[in-house]
Amino acid sequence: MITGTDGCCKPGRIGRRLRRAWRVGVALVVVVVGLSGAGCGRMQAAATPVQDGFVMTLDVQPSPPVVGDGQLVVTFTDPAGRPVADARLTVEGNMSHAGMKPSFGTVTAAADGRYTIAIQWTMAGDWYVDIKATLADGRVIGRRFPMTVYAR
Amino acid sequence: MQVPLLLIAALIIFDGLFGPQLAPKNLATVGVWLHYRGLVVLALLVAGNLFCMACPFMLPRRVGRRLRERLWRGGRPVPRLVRNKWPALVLLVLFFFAYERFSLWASPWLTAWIALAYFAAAFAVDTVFRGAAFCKHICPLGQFNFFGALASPLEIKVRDRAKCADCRTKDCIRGAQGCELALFQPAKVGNLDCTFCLDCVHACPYDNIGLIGRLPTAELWRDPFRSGIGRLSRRPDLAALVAVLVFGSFVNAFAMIGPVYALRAEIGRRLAGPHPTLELAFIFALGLIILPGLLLAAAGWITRRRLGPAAGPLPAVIGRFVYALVPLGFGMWLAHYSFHFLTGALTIVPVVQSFAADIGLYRGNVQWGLGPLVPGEWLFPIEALCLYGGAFGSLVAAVQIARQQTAGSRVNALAITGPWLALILALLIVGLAILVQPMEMRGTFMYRK
Repeated sequence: MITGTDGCCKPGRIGRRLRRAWRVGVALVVVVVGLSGAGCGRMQAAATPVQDGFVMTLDVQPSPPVVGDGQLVVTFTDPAGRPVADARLTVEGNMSHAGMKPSFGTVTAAADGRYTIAIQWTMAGDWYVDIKATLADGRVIGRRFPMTVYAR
Repeated sequence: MQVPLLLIAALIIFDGLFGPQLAPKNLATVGVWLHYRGLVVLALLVAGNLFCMACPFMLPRRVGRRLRERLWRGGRPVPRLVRNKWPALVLLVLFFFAYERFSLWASPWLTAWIALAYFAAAFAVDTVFRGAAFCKHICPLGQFNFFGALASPLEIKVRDRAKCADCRTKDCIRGAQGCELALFQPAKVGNLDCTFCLDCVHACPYDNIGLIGRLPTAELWRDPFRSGIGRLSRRPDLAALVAVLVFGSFVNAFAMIGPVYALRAEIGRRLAGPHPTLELAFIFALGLIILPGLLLAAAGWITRRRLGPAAGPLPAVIGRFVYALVPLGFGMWLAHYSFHFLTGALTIVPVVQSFAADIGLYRGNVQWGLGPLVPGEWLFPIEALCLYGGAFGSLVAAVQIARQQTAGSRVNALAITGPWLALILALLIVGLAILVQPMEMRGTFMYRK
């Protein structure tokens, strides 16, 4: 047992402090190690170039986009260059900085691999638009488009 | 309070390094740039330097101190050359610059590394040097807190000075828990350099030190000798720190609105192509050094002429009156950080839910629809209120400082206050002009092609 005196304290006080510090330290290590293990689901691998062969292009209206209601037109083709007409698209816009809730797009029209999406730009600045297309066979094709939205 | 914040810091670092690298969805960027900054200024406004009190970097500092005391025989004193605020001032300016240049607000990864570097620096500095070297001379966050605490309504101070006169042990400065920052309570004035660690409160055997209410900013009016600091008017480093934090509040907010991009583009055009580092260096040099230097020198020169020979040298006059700008500078920081906090405070809920879901602790819906704390139309009135409040505090401080300077002389206090009142009003107008414009968080993609 560690005991001691620092000249002003009662004997054993340093020992108690060290024991308390030791317990806190062990608890911290347990939490950190636990998180490291449990957090594997959170870990993101470095972005790798997409090689699925699908091509997704994006037109923005108005161009350049301004704060308020906007429209995206996504053109989606498969590796053979044929339009993908039956995909289910989810569109999410996030600003590049913290503190703004995401804007979710709504598909308003889809024909011949061209999807029209209504979205609201809530603030001027840099945005990332993430588009995920779920194909009829269940595969998910995702693309990210950075863009700058301007003030009115 | 430090252990919970240490745990939060650990989560922030973990998510910043390994989590989704999208700022609105990562604990590091949301926690640091939105909640930490917002809560710091709110705590300073309603209480005091609570974030130094709960600082998670105190724990590595304490480990460093133990090592220093056991292995290095108490460690080394801080070299005289840097026993001031210049190192912290340089780091603060570098931080402001890096924040814009590398879009730190948009990078969870860089945010996490800044936190890690902070832990390492706190540990390294306090392992070598004694006298709370990191807090007093290095920590940019701490200097911001000291600056803001000048406008706080609470202060750690002596309850009854007569008891201190009879005290023989002086535990508040000498004891095992004596103030590391060399603030001797009977001679301590105000919140500068006080980390609210409460060591002195615990050390005092007479229970004669406490967290006591006061009139915010009143400590700026007078210039007595301050324990651990000296006289404000004889500390050019402190005056420079205050000037940078006051003008920095405007530069930092200016960097968030449209005109800054036009200015950068124009500078880039004159440099024959985009050159982000030089563009920003020009804006920072103009906003933090050249303009403040000219404006303070002009106001100080007029005041000195009106005061006469008794005024002392120009730097001393500026060093006295620059503190009148503290409430306005704090008001601008408060307005800016409150905007971000009120706009997105609730985004922490889905970010934490998402984090918990990823580590298997949450199975419900992640509420990405949560965001603002108040309706959007409330934001400008709240920001304007912060700025008007700051300007009012600055006007009062300027008049009070002038009254102190002219006490016993025939010079009219209002006559020497004139240039400072004009400067305060000019900064108020600039501040309102910045706040009234829509915020545009651009820059992330500008030079990342």
